[in-house]
Amino acid sequence: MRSSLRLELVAALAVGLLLAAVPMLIPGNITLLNLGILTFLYVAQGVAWNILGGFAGYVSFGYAAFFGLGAYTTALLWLAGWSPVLTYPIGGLVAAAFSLLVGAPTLRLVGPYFSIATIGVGEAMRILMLNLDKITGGASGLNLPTVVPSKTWFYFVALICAATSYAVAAWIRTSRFGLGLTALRLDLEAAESLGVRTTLFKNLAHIVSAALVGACGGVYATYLQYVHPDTVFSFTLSISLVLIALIGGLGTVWGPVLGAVVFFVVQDYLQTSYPTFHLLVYGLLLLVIILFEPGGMAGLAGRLVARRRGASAGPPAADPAPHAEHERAPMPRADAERPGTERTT
Amino acid sequence: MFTTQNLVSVAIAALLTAGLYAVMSYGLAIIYGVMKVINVSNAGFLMLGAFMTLMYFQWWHLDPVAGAVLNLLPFFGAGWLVYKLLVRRVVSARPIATLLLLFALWLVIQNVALAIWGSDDQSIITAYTYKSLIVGGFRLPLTRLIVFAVALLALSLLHFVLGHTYVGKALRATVQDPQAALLVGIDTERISALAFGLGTALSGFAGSLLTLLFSFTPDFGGPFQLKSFTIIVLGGLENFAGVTVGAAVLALTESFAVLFMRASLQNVIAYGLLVVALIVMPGGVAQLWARTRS
Amino acid sequence: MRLQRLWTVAVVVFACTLPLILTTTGQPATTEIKIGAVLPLTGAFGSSGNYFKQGYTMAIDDVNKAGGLQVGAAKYPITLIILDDGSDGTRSRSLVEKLVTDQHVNFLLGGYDTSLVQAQEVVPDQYKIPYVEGGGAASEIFKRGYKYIFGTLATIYDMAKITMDYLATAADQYKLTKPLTIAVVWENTDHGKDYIEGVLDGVKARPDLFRIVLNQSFQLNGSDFSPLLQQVQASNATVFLSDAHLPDFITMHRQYLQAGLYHQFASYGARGPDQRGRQALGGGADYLIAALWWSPALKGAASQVFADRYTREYHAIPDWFQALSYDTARVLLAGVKNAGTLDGPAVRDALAKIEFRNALVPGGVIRFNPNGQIAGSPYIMVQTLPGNTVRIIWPKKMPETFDAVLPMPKNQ
Repeated sequence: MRSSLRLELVAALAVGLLLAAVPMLIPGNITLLNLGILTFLYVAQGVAWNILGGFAGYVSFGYAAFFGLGAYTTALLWLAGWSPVLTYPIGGLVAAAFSLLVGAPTLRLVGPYFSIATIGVGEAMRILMLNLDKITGGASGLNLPTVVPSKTWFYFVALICAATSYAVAAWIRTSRFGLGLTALRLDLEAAESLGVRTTLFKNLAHIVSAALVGACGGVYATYLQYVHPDTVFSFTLSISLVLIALIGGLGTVWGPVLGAVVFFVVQDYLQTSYPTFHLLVYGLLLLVIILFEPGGMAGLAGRLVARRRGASAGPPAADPAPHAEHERAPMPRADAERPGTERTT
Repeated sequence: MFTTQNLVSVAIAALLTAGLYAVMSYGLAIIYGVMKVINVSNAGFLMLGAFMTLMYFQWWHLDPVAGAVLNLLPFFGAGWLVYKLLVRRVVSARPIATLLLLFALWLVIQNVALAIWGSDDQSIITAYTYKSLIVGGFRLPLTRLIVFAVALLALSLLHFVLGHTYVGKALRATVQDPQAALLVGIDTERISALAFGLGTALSGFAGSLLTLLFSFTPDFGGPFQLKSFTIIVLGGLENFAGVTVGAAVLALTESFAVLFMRASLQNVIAYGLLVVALIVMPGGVAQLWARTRS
Repeated sequence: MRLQRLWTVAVVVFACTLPLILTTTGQPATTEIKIGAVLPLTGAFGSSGNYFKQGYTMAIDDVNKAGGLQVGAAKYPITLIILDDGSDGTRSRSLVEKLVTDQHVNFLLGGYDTSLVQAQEVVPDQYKIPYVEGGGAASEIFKRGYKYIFGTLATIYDMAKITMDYLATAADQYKLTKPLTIAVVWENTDHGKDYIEGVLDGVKARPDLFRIVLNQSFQLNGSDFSPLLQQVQASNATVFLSDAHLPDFITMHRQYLQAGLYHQFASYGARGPDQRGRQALGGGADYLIAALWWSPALKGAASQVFADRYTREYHAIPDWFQALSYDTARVLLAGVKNAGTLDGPAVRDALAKIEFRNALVPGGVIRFNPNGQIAGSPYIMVQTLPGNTVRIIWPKKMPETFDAVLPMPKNQ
């Protein structure tokens, strides 16, 4: 396990360095830089979302609130004369503070109830921000300075965001904290009785991921030079993060990275060629994933590898999905007769 | 501005709205009750119900109320199929899987509708769309009265079915204690399919009624969806009669709050109530609902 | 285990380089002019966005049929690239940039609705690409100091002011009950804020005549306006003014009529005469007063030719959307022609001092203020009448101007 972990880190470092070299290897390609910036920001957010949604199993549909708060914090400080770079961590802090405020009560809810509550919080925030004219500029949005750093600069900042998210998630995954999150996802009561401080852990996961997403919001605000409540607090954004993690593989570190890349490439391609169908494709993709491969792409990759190994090395693999959703009932058909109500407790 | 006359007329309008709210949330409540599944695809079926009604209206000049009745059977079938083909496969996994599955279904329905009907605002104008009655000095829109009456009738009928038929009793038994229901020989699997069908049929029915009041697009349904969540949470989730209470609470709060604040904040009330109700009313009407640990 | 990890890593590397492979772009072409536009072809503003697409397409077709656009010594065919933002601001912004960086468009045409134009307007200055729009009218768009943005719509502030001026004269002419008590509701956007500012300034100018009894904002793309309309009812106003976009207009006016509301004078800004709204409301839109940038009721030669041609091509009656987008595209092309080059800054300068004649807008001339917005305030006031008729009721001096039917007759 240890060697594979090291390998994974080496691979991550290699990919990171390779991507960092891109602006030097292919200079002056703005398309590529834009693509990189947006993809990295998605990666950063998808990976961050997954800390709470995947590791701890609390699927939130309200992360746009954190993104928006980060964006507005940066926007307001930037307008007040701060240097944008300094505002990103502060945006993260504001988002983290808000996540604590919201998380403390809502994280007591389990499963779907938490999800539904986050939709309410996210949408309420959007409408509230639209009406706070004095602070947010309300529905006028805020117009930010037009003097912005170069695209290459943004490329690196976004890459750093993605790398930070990845590093944090990878560290959590292997730490006692991460184990605690997995435990509370698998069985809250059991985890509690084993001494896992579930409330603390859940909130901590929420705060960490909210802070990362908030910082991304700040980067996005400087990149876009314009913030508007409908844009940075949009429900679509919240959904995107859920989709990224699900497509890639809930609860894995690499999953959302893959998910974000696929999500963005699909979106980029479909939006220009078949704009009407782009949500339809996500919907269908999501259906297929949930029905047939709850582990997402990471799960699928693991399964394929396992099969190949099984074919070449004889005995079938005991562990088909590397660190994906082991707890998902693999075969619904078998126990479909169960009415299935116990799980709400 | 706040004369008694005005306040009473606001209250009457709110109660009429409550009828609509109740009928559109009932399907959600039934499916939740039996399966403990939050049917987020409800919004999709509401919208589909509205568009089917538009089709009936364009093809045969069928009145939306008749369209609502006509919707019942196909939507029951659709719900049954959704359960058999999709929901059943994941319902025993973690509940979040079902939520996401139904969410995906909503995305699909919405975008298929977009591909078929486009994103234009559609509406049905009948001979009585703009008529209103004056009763005791209060002007009552005829369409609201019709929706209220039809909703009331449908819900009474449903209560009768649930209370006096074998299927209804089996359904309620499953809501109360699925294990026990299984033990006494109730085929809970069939009851689940039935409940999903019934819930979807009600969504289609409510979608038709909505066309009497609103214009609609394929995006239609989203805001109503969140309101429905609020209503069933307020009503205590497994308590069918509670839906009516929840609907009344929401409608009254919304109507009166607008008197004291910016109308552009109107939806914050529903969303805020949803969150607050989820957090602070774990017991309340919803004693049965053990969703928090302590 | 090792093999499995390697495999995962391979997938990751591939996935990360995928964008590289997918985006090998060619060199910008020099044999044609590329014009790009990002419009809401789907979503809340879908119908309006499609009207804009029609107007843009007609203008570009004109030039291509004539063999292309004469720029300096050369004649270039024009390619129009239209992308759909689904009425979403973020997507709108990134697609405009994509048009510039991927498609290498020479010029940009604007999107529709103030909020989406605002999301887009950062891009043109960054890349020095002239951008002409006919879909965003809030004055806020032009207060941001951008140099490459030009707008052909007169401001919403002016629309409100003109409505109030008209109301003042109509009060005498048609014996409306004085003082005029006004219930005004506006969408909570820059569009709406412009409107309410204009209305309030109009009230300030005639405190003897006007009194505001209700001033409320509502959320854009709202689903249910009945609580708001109850307040309107309770305010007992004689005049109802509302600033709403098409979807909200349809929802709100339907509920207005269902609630049995009546006012001597009712106006939804620019809404009422549009085909889509009339269709969705049945006879419900009759007698509404609107301030418009263009109407097929204008009898000028250019307007009639355009209206006839539109009806031939699309089998429908055009609204201001199509006419203004047609004008918008033609102004851009004229600017390019005047500049005699495809160079962005040169075309910008040409647009800044353009005097475009033969335009469809009332008055027939389009010039731009230093801030980029159209000079003057070419508006007409119209009233919708039964039988899909729209009549111009102001300005008085035009031959096609009729008397209005005021106070509005009660519908039932």
